[in-house]
Amino acid sequence: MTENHASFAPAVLLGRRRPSRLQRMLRVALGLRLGVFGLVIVVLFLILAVGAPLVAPFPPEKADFVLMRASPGSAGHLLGTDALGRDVFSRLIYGGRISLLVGFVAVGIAIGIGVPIGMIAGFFGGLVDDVLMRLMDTLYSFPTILLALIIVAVLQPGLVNVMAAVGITSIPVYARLVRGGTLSVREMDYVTAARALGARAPRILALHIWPNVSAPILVQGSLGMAFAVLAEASLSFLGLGVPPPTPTWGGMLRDGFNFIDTAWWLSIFPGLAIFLLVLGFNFVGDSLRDALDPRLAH
Amino acid sequence: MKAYMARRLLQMMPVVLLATVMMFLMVYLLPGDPAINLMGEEAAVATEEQIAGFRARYGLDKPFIVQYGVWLKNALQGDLGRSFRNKEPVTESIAARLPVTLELAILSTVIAIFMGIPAGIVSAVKRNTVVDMIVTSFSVGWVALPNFWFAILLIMVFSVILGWLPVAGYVPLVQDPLGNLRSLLLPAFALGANYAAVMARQTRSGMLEVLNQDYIRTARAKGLREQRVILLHALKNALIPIVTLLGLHLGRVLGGTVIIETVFAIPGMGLLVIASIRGRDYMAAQGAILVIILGVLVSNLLADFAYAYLDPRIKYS
Repeated sequence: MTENHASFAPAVLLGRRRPSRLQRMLRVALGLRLGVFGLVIVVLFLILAVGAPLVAPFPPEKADFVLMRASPGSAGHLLGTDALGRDVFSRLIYGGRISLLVGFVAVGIAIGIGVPIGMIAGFFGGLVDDVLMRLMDTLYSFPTILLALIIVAVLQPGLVNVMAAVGITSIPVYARLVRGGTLSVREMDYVTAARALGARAPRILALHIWPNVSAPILVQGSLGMAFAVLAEASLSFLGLGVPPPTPTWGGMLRDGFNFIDTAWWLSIFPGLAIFLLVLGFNFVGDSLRDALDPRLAH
Repeated sequence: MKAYMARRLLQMMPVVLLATVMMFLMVYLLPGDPAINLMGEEAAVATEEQIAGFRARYGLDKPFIVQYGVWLKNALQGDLGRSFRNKEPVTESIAARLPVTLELAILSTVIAIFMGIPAGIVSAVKRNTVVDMIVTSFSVGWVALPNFWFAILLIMVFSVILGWLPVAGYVPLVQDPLGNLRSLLLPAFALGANYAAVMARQTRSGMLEVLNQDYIRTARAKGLREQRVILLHALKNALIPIVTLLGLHLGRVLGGTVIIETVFAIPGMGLLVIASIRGRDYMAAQGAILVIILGVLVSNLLADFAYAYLDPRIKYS
C-alpha cells in the first residue's frame, strides 16, 4: 500500500505558497455543482454580450415594417420580431450588454464607495462610526427600487445615470458588511502590533484590514450583480431606464406587455433572459457563500 | 425589554429626520421648473411676473432649507400640503391609496407564509429526498424570478388564456369583496411568491438546525408523535428568524408595489409615487415617499421588537 505522504506535508515545507483565503474559497466554490452551473450561464451571457456584433443575426435597431410581430422561427427570426419588426434575438443579445454593463459598473460603484465607508466606520468607531452608519441606515430605509427610481428621475434616464442610481442604492449593503468584518479584525493582535510599530491608519486599513475583510465582498458582489440586473430591468420596465431605441430587457418586456394577447414571445424571452442571468449570479454567489463557510471549506 | 424598545425608538429618530432631508432634497432636485410645469398651458401665455407670483404663492422661490423647514413643520402637524396637480390635500390622496397598498401587502404576505413555511418544513423533514430537491429547486429558482415578469406570466395564463381573473384594475373591498379578491389575487401572488421562496429556504435551514438539537431527541425519546415534535417543538424555535424576515418583508413589499401596481394598474401608493414623480408634483411625491419610508422603518422596528420578544437569549446592551 503506497501512501502519498507529500500531500500531508505542510505547503511551506514543500516550497509552495499557502493558498490565500480567497483562493481556498474559490476552489471550494468551483467544487459545488450549482456554482459551476451558474458560472457557465454568466460566462455564456458574457460571451454573447461581448461578441454581439458577430452573434446577432440582425442589427438590433433595424425595423422591418413588413415583418411586424412575426412569430418565432419565421423568415430567419429565431425568436420572432417585435412591434416594429426588429429581431427579438438580436435585441436580446444587445440588451444583455446593457444588463451586464450596468451590473458591473453599479457593483463597482457600490464597492468603491461602500467598502471605504464600512472600513473607516468600523476602524475608527465612535462618532465617525455613528455618523457614517446613520447615513447608511438612512439610505437603507428607502426601498431600493424606489430609491433608484428617484435618483434616475433626478439625474434623468440614461445609461450612466442608471448605473449610478443602482450603484448608490447598494452602497449600504457593502458598508454594513465591511464594517462588521472590520470591527472584529481591528481587535486582532497583528493590528495591535502594526499600531505599536507606528503604522498609520491608511496603511493598517490597506495592508491588514482589507485583505481580511475582502472575501465576503466577492460573495456579495455576485449577489449584487443579480440585484443590479433586476434593478436595471425594473427601471427600464417602468420607462426610467436607458431610453429607446437602445435595447434593454426591461424595455423589451414593457413593449411586449402591450401585445400580451397576440405576441406571447415578446413577453416570454426578455423575461427568461433576466431570469437566467439573475439565476446564474445567484448560483455563483450562493456557492461562494457556502465556500466561505468553514464547515464546508474543510 | 421596555428600555430596549425605547432605545431603538430613539435611535430611529435621527434616521427618520435624515431620511426626510434626503427625500426632500431629491424631490427638490427633480429637473424642470415646477412652477412652469404646474401652470401647464397657463405658463405659455403667462408673464414673468405671473410665474414669479405663482412661485411665491407656493413658496417655491424660497431657499431649500426654508422650504424644507416649512414642509417639516407642517408634516409634523399632519399637513403634507396640497397636490400641485389636482389641488387635493396630499393626506387625502394618501388616505385613499394607502389601504389599497396595505391590502396588497398583507395579502402577499399571507400567500408568502402559506406557501413558504409549509414548503420549508416538508423540505427539511424529507431532507435529501425528491420532495426536498423539488422544493429547494423551486425556491432557488423563484428567488431569481423578476416579480414583474412573473406578473406578466400570471396575466398571460390566468387572464388571457383561461380568462379566470381580470387583467388589471382594482375593485374596492366595500364595493364587492369577491371582486376585490379577484382583482388582487394575481398581484398579491406575483409579489408574495418571491418572498415565499425566501421563506421556504429560511424555514428549511432553520428547521434543519433545530432538528439536530438535544431537546428534539428528548422529545422523540419521550415517545411523542413525530407530527407533534415537528410542529410544536421544532417549528416554534425555527420560526424565530422567520418573524424577523416577515417584518423586513412587509417593509420591502412597499417598494415592490411600485412595479406591481404599475403592471396591474392598481391605484395604490406605488402608482401615486410614479405619477407624482413623472408629473413633478413635489408635494404629492414628498408625502407618498415619506409614508413609504416610515412604513419600512416601522416594519424593521417591529421585526426587531418581535425578535427581542421571541428570543430571550438576545442581549440588548
